[in-house]
Amino acid sequence: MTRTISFNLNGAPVKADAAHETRLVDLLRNNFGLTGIKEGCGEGECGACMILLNGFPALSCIMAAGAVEGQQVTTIEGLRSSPGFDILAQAFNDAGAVQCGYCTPGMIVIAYALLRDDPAPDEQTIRSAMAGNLCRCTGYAMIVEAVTLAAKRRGEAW
Amino acid sequence: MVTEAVTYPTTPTEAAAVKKAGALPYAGGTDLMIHQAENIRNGQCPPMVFLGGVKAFHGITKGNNELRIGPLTTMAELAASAQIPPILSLACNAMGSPALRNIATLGGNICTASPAGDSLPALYTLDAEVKLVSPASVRRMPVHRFITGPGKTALEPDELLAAITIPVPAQELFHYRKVSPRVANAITKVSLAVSLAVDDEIVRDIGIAFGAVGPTVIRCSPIEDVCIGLPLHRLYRDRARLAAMARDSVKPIDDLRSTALYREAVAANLFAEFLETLNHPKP
Ligand SMILES: Cc1cc2nc3c(=O)[nH]c(=O)nc-3n(C[C@H](O)[C@H](O)[C@H](O)COP(=O)(O)OP(=O)(O)OC[C@H]3O[C@@H](n4cnc5c(N)ncnc54)[C@H](O)[C@@H]3O)c2cc1C
Ligand code: FES
Ligand code: FES
Repeated sequence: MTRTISFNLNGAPVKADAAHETRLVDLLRNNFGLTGIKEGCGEGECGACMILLNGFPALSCIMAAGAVEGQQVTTIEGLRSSPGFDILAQAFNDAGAVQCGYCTPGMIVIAYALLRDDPAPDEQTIRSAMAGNLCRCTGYAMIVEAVTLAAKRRGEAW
Repeated sequence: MVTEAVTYPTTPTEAAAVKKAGALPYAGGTDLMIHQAENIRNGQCPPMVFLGGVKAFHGITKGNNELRIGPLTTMAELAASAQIPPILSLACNAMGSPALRNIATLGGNICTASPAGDSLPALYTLDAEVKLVSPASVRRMPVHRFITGPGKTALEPDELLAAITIPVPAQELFHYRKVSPRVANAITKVSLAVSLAVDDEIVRDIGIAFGAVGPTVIRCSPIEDVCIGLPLHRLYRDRARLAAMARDSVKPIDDLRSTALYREAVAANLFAEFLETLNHPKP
């Protein structure tokens, strides 16, 4: 049954017509064209579909669209205009942390939340925070390096 | 018939009434969305009732005799809470990945009733109880009675899990260990939870429970009975015999992830490892 779901998306109030049980990843990609969010596993295991729900990292492939009624959803597109995003993007670039790029939006979203909450995470903290984000290309060392670099350059970005 | 208005109930009885009408309770959705994946693809998914708006299902409160945890409390909230016994925080923090813990709830973990459900061994050792509500009734039972088999609970079609309670004061010494092939998103092969109360080096109370080595969590009452009243150094001295008892009490199976033999050996080793820690009891 199609219903109207109202929520806040990337800072603006929105409405979408969809069945409640639609996966949030599909709602965001298909109804809103937010294709920065990727579907990797579709089972909560890889982190490619990472969004922020009320500011906290969450997995949009195992959430129902109906569950975000009245909530705040932020996607990688919503972070683009923030200074933190620019610092992270540059650091991922400089550290060579992007190969095929499929995991990158999820990596950036979770790194964004990590650096907001922890200005100077050590390697172990970064690895634990990103333990649910899989990358098939880089071998992770460059990703950890990128986040470390972004933390060093963070300034007043968060 | 589940109507638009009640898919977002605000009270427990209202939510239970929608479930009775055939809706699937949605807490964090992390098990439900996977179980329903095929139905969702085919447009065959039954309606869902989103529990998030039920205020009474949120939060942790401390009463005189018990701690009450709302079923919608997330694993991340429990992992960070200083109000709950540390063993439950440790177990919840060992689940899934950080983003999963932000959405997965304690109530969902209990109602899924997986033999590998990671909150369960801790809850068993803490003598936790569950409170169930229907539109017409309220009842309570120990969590080990609530879980009746793999994926099976005592919930009636019109009932919801409304609270989890833990008697206070709880035990004060805890040991938790989860064995799994990697740090994140790995289903438990074997886990051990021990909650211990000690007076002057003598065991006053002990709860011992293994996860993922039987159809439900295995609570080792015979070992607990042997331990109660003994000084800690005796538990340490008798560790080989007690670990053998642990091996005999688990009932693992062969599956994709491990063999029964491996799980039995690991269960015994985990228990021996715990007993080793009693050689130098921490203050
Ligand atoms: C990638 C991944 C990794 C995971 N790792 C682990 C792990 O390490 N350890 C572990 O134990 N589990 C793990 N899980 C399983 C799952 O995340 C947990 O069981 C979680 O606690 C379920 O909670 P939920 O709020 O998401 O439940 P939901 O999916 O919302 O609900 C689960 C079931 O319980 C019912 N339900 C929920 N709340 C109530 C209520 N109050 N009353 C009545 N019925 C209710 C629902 O209808 C549904 O049938 C993992 C899952 C994924 C996808
Ligand atoms: S696509 Fe959501 S976690 Fe893999
Ligand atoms: S860069 Fe290809 S998956 Fe990470």
